[in-house]
Amino acid sequence: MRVEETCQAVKHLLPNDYVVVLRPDLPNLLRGPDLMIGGAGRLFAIFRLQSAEQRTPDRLLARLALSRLALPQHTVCVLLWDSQGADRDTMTVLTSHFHATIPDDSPGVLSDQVLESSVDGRAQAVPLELQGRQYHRAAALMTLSETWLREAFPAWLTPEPISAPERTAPYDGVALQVRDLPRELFDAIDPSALEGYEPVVARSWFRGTRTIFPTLLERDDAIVTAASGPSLSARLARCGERLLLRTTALDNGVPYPQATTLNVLLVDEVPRSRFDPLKAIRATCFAGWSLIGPPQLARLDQTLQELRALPTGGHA
Amino acid sequence: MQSLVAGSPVSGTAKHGDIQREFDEVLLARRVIKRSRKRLLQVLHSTRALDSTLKEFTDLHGCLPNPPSLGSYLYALKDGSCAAIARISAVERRHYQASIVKPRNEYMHEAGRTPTDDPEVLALLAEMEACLQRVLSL
Repeated sequence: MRVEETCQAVKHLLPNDYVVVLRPDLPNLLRGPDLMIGGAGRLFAIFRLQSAEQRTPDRLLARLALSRLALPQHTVCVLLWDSQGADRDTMTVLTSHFHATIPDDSPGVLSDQVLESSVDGRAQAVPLELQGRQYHRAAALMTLSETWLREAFPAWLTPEPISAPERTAPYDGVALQVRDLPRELFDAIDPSALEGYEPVVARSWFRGTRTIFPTLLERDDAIVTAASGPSLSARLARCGERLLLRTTALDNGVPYPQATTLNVLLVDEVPRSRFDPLKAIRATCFAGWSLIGPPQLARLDQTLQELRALPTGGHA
Repeated sequence: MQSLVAGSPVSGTAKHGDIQREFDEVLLARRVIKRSRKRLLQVLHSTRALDSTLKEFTDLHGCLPNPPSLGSYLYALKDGSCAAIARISAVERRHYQASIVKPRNEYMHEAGRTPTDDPEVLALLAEMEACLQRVLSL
């Protein structure tokens, strides 16, 4: 059963004061739950393996982890599994991270679960401290990224779409050959900006995603990569998920941080969604990236210093 | 947002129905043809939904500020006056103050200030939603 059908069926089964939303547009998530149900103070986020996730179930876990960091702690996360052809090994890996797993041809079981709110899955609550740290960091990264992007792309947020020639300003410097990325993006890099870094250009940062996320520079405390292309929002979503998988360990649905790095993501335009112009930036920052344009790459050391100087948390 | 509010403690308050109707009005305002009026209505109904949700939320947790206002809710949520829940950080409060309270006040209180620049208004509306989601996660 498709998730659209599950949505319709559950709407009919639940009382009218329950709100059932198909693919909710949540401000901090580029890819969130497939279905959300709220009512009587209870909140359910329903996930179903999407086609790309069937090949790489880690992507579902990353989507789950980011959703759990963004949504209220009491949100019950349910996995709808394909009753026709679920892979048993995959299901075994996924199940421990959800509160409940339900076959996708049983909307009645789902609605009963929502009404009774009885869950006995292995997923643990995300500690509020972890969630608070994620939101705090996201707010700081967003403020900084907005400033940088306004400098890099002055036409950003004007009512008219940004035309291609305005997207990148000309800069003198070395050209790093990276497949599938506009050459002028890399013409922005001043050679001195590379000092002290090990250039790992064109080496895949993520296995199997060579052409999508080439690592520009990497050292122990910093990762600099780039995203570009016609479906930039989708690529940013994937970048966020990959960063989460790389820097956290998921234990019973809770993403525990394992590594702290300064994460810099170079873009050659500012992706703008129709009803939420800042969404891609907000959600990418929520996943842990800061967004920069060519000018900030050209003064990379200063950029990293500004990132390092961000407040680390607390309530002062 | 409606599902988030329905799935929060605010759903048990007397104001819940009114808050959900404000969200409905935000969607209905999309049909208004005159752009400036449409945007003003969207800002108005979004801010009423946000203000009322924060009011009910802080009241439920025993930290309703006096006088109640969007800025003072954010301070109460930062200062830890709501002892039973987590706090937003100073950075978050400043972010919401700059991205919501300031532009919202200009639109609501300044004669002649009409939201005509779509991206700015849409960004404001989305930031209000983001703030709401954050607070309901505390």
